[in-house]
Amino acid sequence: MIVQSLKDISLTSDLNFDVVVVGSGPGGSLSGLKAAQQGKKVAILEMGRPLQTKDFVLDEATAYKNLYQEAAGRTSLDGAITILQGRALGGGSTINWTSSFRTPELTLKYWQKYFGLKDLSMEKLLPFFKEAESLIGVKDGEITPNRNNDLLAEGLSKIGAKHGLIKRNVRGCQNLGYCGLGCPVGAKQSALVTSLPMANKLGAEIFCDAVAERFIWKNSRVEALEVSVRGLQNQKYIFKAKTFICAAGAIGSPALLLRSKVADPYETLGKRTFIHPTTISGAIFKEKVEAYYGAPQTVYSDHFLPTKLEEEAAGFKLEVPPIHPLLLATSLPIFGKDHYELMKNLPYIQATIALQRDGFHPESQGGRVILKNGRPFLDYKFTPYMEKAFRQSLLVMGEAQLAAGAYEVMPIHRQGLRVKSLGALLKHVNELSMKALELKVVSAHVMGGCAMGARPQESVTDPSGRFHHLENLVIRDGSLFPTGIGTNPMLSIMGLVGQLSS
Amino acid sequence: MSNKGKLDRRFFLKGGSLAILSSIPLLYWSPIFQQTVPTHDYLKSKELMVMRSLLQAWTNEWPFFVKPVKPIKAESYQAELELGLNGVLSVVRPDKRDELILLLKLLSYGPSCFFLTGHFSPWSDPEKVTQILSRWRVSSKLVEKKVYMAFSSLFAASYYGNKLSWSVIGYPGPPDYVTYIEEEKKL
Repeated sequence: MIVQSLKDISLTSDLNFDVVVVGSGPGGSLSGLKAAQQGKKVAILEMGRPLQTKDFVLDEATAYKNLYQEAAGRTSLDGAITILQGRALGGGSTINWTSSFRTPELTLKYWQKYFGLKDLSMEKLLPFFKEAESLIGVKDGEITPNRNNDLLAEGLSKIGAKHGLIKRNVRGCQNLGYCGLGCPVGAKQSALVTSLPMANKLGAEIFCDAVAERFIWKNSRVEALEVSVRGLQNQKYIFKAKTFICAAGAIGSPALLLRSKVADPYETLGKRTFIHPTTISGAIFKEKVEAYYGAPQTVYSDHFLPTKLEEEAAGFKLEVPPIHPLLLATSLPIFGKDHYELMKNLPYIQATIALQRDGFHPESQGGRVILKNGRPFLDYKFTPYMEKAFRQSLLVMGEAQLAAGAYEVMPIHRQGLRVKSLGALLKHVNELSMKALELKVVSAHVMGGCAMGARPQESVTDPSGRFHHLENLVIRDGSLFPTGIGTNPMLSIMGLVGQLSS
Repeated sequence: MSNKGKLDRRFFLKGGSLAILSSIPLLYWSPIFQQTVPTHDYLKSKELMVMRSLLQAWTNEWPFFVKPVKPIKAESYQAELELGLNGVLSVVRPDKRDELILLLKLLSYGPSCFFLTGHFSPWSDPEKVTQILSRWRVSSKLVEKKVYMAFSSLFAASYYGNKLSWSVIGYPGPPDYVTYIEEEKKL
C-alpha cells in the first residue's frame, strides 16, 4: 500500500478529487473503497502517522504515543472519563480488540421508533453486515479463550448469567494478546489490511499526518477542505472535491463541523455523544491468569442488558480487557504501597469490564462535543440513573469473579478496597460514591455527535447520512449513531456505511 | 505554552479546567538512558521540586528497577523516573500540559499551596507529602479529586512506561512474534 505523509512531501500536484474522505477508520476507509470501486478519484486523509503492520511493536508506551488520540491521554472535559480512541491509519480498527458484533436488534428498533430511521432494520442491514464480515474475516472463535476470558465465563455460569463467545475479525491469528497495540503480524483484519489497500489499489490516494482543519463552504455546498500538516500547523493545503465524506470519528467529526462554523439552527451538532461508560472490577486469583497473553476478548455477556424497548434500567454488557502493565497501572487510582501491592500480582489478576448502554433514557442523553481554542472536548456528565447502573455493574462483576474463585476482588475506584467475600463486596460497593472522579470510568466506544434522524430539529444528518445544511457533505462513521448501541461498534459502523454507500 | 497567558489562578482554583489533570494517562517512554532528551524540558526549579516530592511519595515502596543483572542505584532510579516524567509531559496535549505546570506553580506558592494542601510548604517533608496524597485520595472537594486523579495517571505512567519495571511485577514481556514473521517470509 502506498501511503504518503504530508510531512514528507510537497504537494504541488492537482489536489482536485471527486471524493475527499476525512478519516481512515472503518467508516472512512470503507467509504473510500466504495467510491474507488465506482471509479471515482478519491483521497483519504488520516491525521495519524503513516504506520503499518511492519511498524508495530508490542510495547505499550510506543503504541499509545503513536496510535492513540492524545497518546491515550484523552479524557472528558472534567477529566473523569478516560477515552481511548485511535489516531492511526485504519483508525479504531487498528487498535481495537477485534470484537465484532452486529448492531443489536433492540437498538435498531429504538432508532426506527424514535428517530425515524425506517431503513435501519436488521432485515435491510443484514446483507451489509454479511458483506463487511466477509471483508474483514469475521467468524466464530477459532481460538480457545485465554484464562482471563475463561474466568469470566466460569463466574457467569456459576451466578446463572448467560454468556457467549465473541466473533473476531482475524485471519491467521497468532493469539499474541496485543491487539490494542496494532497487530504486528497482520492477522487482525483492520481497515489497514483490508479496505485501505483495496481502495489504494483502485487508485485512491492516502495521505497521513493530515489534519482536517475546516470545510470551506458557500451557500449550500462545501467548496474545499483546509488541511494542515500534523505538527506543522502553518503548513496548509486545500483539497477540493465534488463530494466530501466526514469520517473523523465521534468527537473528530462534530469537532470538524464546529470548526467549519456550519449551520446548526437547532444546536444539535456535537450533542448526543455516547461512550458506553465502562466500569472495571479487578480480581486476584491464586492461579496464574496471565491476562496479557492470548486473544484479548473472546467471552461476553448480554445478560444484564435490556430485552424490551422501553425497559427502565440502563443495563450493561460484560467483557474483559487485556491487562498490560501500563494500562493497568494508570487505571488504578491508588498510590504508594497499595498500588505496588496490587501491581506485583499482575500475572494473577483478572479484570472484567461493564459497558453501560447509554442513550435510551431521559437521564442518559450523552455528552456534548465542544471546542476550546479549536480543540475538541467531550463534556459528559453522569446522572443518578447512570450511577445506579455503575453500582450494579460493580456488584455483578465482583460476584462473578468471586464465584470463579477469586481470592480478592476490587472495584476500580478512588477509594476501592480489596475484599474477599460477597458480603464484604456488597457492603463496600454500597458505601462507595459513584460520582465523577470517584469511580474510574473509561470508554473505548465513542459514538454520536452527528446523529442521523428524520427530523432536523433533533439530528445533524438526514437518514442517508447527508448533513442537513450542505448538499455535498455526508457523514460516514460512528458519529451518526443517535444513541450508544450497547455493543462494540466497528461492525455496526461498517454495516451502516455499507448500506448508506449502496 | 501558547495558552499560558489565558490561565489565571482564580480560574484554576475554581476547578474550571482542572480537568487537566486526570488526563495525562498512558503515553510514552523514551528508550532507556536515552541521552537526547533533556530531563526537565518543561519544569523549572520550584515546580520541579514539588513534582519530585510528589513523585517520591507516590512511588514510595515501589521497588527500584531491576536491570538484567542487579537493581540500579538510587540516583539512577530517580533519574529514570524523572526521565519518564519528562517523556510523559512531552506527549501530553499542550493546553493540558500548561495547566499541569500551572498547578505545580500554585503548589509551589505558599498561599495557594495552603489552599490545596493545608500546608504552606510541605515539600521537603516526605511524611507530610504522603499525608497530603492520602487526604486527596478520600477528599470530596472537586479540585482535590482532580489533582489526585491527574497525578495518579502521570506517576504510574512514569514508572510503568519503563521496561525496567516489568521484572519487579512479574511481567515476562511480549511473546516472540518475529519468528512467525520470518517463517511467513520464507513461504
